[in-house]
Amino acid sequence: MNIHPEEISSIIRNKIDNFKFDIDVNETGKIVQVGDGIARVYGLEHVMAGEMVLFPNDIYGMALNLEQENIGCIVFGDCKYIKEGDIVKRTGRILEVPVGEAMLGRVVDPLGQPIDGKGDIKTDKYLPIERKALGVIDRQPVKEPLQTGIKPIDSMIPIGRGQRELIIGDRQTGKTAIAIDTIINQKGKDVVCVYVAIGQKRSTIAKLVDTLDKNGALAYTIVVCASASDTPSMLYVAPYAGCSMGEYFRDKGQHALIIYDDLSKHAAAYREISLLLRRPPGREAYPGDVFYLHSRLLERASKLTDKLGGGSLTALPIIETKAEDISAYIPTNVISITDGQIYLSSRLFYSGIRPAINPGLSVSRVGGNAQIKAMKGVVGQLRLDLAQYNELEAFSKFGSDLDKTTRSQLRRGERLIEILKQDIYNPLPVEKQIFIIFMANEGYLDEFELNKVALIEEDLFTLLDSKYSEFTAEMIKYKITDQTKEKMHEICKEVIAHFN
Amino acid sequence: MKDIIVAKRYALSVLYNIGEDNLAAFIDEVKYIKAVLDQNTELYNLLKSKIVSIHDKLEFFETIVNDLEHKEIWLSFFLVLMPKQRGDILQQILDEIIKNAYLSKNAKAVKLTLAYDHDEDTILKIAKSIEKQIGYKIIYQVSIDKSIIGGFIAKSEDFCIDASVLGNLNKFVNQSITDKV
Ligand SMILES: Nc1ncnc2c1ncn2[C@@H]1O[C@H](COP(=O)(O)OP(=O)(O)OP(=O)(O)O)[C@@H](O)[C@H]1O
Ligand SMILES: [Mg+2]
Repeated sequence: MNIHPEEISSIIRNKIDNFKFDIDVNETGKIVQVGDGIARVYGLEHVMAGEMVLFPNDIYGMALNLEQENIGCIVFGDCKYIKEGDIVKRTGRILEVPVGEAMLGRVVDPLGQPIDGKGDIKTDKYLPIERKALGVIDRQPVKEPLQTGIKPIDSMIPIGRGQRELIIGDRQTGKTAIAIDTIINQKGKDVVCVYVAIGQKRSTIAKLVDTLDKNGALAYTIVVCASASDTPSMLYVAPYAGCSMGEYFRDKGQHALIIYDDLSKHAAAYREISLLLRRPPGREAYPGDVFYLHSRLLERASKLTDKLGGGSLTALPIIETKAEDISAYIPTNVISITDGQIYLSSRLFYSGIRPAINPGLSVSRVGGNAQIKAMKGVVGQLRLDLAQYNELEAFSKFGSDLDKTTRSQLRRGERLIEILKQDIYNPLPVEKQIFIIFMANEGYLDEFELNKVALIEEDLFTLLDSKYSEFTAEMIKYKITDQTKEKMHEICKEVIAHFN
Repeated sequence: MKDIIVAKRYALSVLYNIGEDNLAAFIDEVKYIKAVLDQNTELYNLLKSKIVSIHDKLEFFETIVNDLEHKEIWLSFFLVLMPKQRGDILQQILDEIIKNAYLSKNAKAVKLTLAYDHDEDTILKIAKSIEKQIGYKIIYQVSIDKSIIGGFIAKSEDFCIDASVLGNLNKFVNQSITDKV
């Protein structure tokens, strides 16, 4: 790069010309106590709850507790640069984060500052992190599907754009995997994704960003990262900041998806802050407003009316349970706020059924309206057959003599379970999902051994790609008619013929 | 620093016993005691000391306040303060008394820093403009600091007005660094 001295001096001259001498008026207070990411400040009588305050060394904080004689602030930054007696200034602003298209493909901290080493983010748009959720009149029921590309979810627990669907399960059961698959599957679907990592290891986040990048998904994704080594205050604001970044796209009439991974750690961080601020602890030592903490966040997910542009923000919060206890405080809270949950079971995970979704305990309360018609046409029996299979399976362990119908029901169930398995980072387009479920439902797989099923599936997909891509593209647009069904039977038979 | 909060409580309760008419005289007394303590650090150290008996401390204190109009109030205040081992925040309490007395008259004490000495008129003008900004009357104390180059800085307990050349230059530098060229 060539640098011309004249150019620089003209820039500087220009700056000097445009500089206005002004008077800085600030309300100030004094730090009484500081430590553990919390500061108590004396003075600042007019400060508002949630207002940003400025500590020395350009460290920002947020006023949370307004008490009679002092205020309690959380500190976004290193407390070791702040000491007792330091001056604190009011800023008069509510905490804001940068938003906009420039954020896409970037990894940022909860204050919107880049941490991926790719340079500054050039955006002049800002939104406050705490925004009121939209009212009833501004919303409409969800109606478009949000395809996750995961067979058991798109078929049995469909998610609509604007919905809040909880992913819940023990540690290491593939919760994050489902979220990442969903992000990868949004490629080319005009859905902007925001992934908020709360309290995870930095190495895990780095791996995840790498996975997104390799799958070409980073370009339409914002990763908001508050890692385990960040202060609880950073963890606390991260989901709200991410939500504002997503809302920007929703308000423009686009579709956005946000993942909070995970809200258990968020609640724990908030508990830490609350205890340090000496708010009274309640059940499991969480403060009284821990429900509101998550309800106000998840209420911000919404589908706007057409008048407001029809944009949507879908939320997939993740909750980690301990020993499959979904009746603990935080899980029950979040279950009651969301529009359904995807329950992952470690028993299934370790018996090789991955994704380890338990269809019996999973529901989607509103997504049914959004499911595409073609899918609806083929899944009809699926849930029922699986439930029946689960019952029979337990029963069949005792007796050896089973009648023919029971045996065939068991056989069908085994194959259904087999086709619902899916590899990680390998989301399937919906037409392929429909086909393989149709094939199993119609009994084409019953005559084959279990270990053949994966091969048949692979063969089916190659055939669809090579010969029938036009047909499948048409098929998913409408309800499945008898005519389409006939054609589908034909294709199934063609696949089967390869294996006989 | 937590002491400020405690000091404020003591200050308010002392002021509670002073009538509106006596306030000005009382503040003069406070300033006088402050000056005495400032000048006689040994005396103040004795008052703060946890070894010296309360009786002895009271004697010392009495010598200071003996000629004052509000002697009774001072002595009983001291009798409350000492058994609680709060001698160490005496200075802060005195500061708080002054501050809260001003506040009750809708005024604030302000430290006004100028780059060089101005005439009375100019300073009065500056004071007026500050009063307009903060909505309080101000009782100011001028100090000179050449390093601010020009303009003024007004500092009080709970606000800070920076209209100095130095502050503006700093701001200019900061802006130029953060602005993308
Ligand atoms: N469908 C799948 N097929 C095969 N392996 C999978 C599948 N889903 C997840 N895994 C593997 O299981 C492991 C745990 O997955 P993941 O990290 O998504 O779980 P998690 O519930 O998010 O864990 P944590 O509690 O640590 O956040 C990973 O090693 C992942 O590769
Ligand atoms: Mg995870």
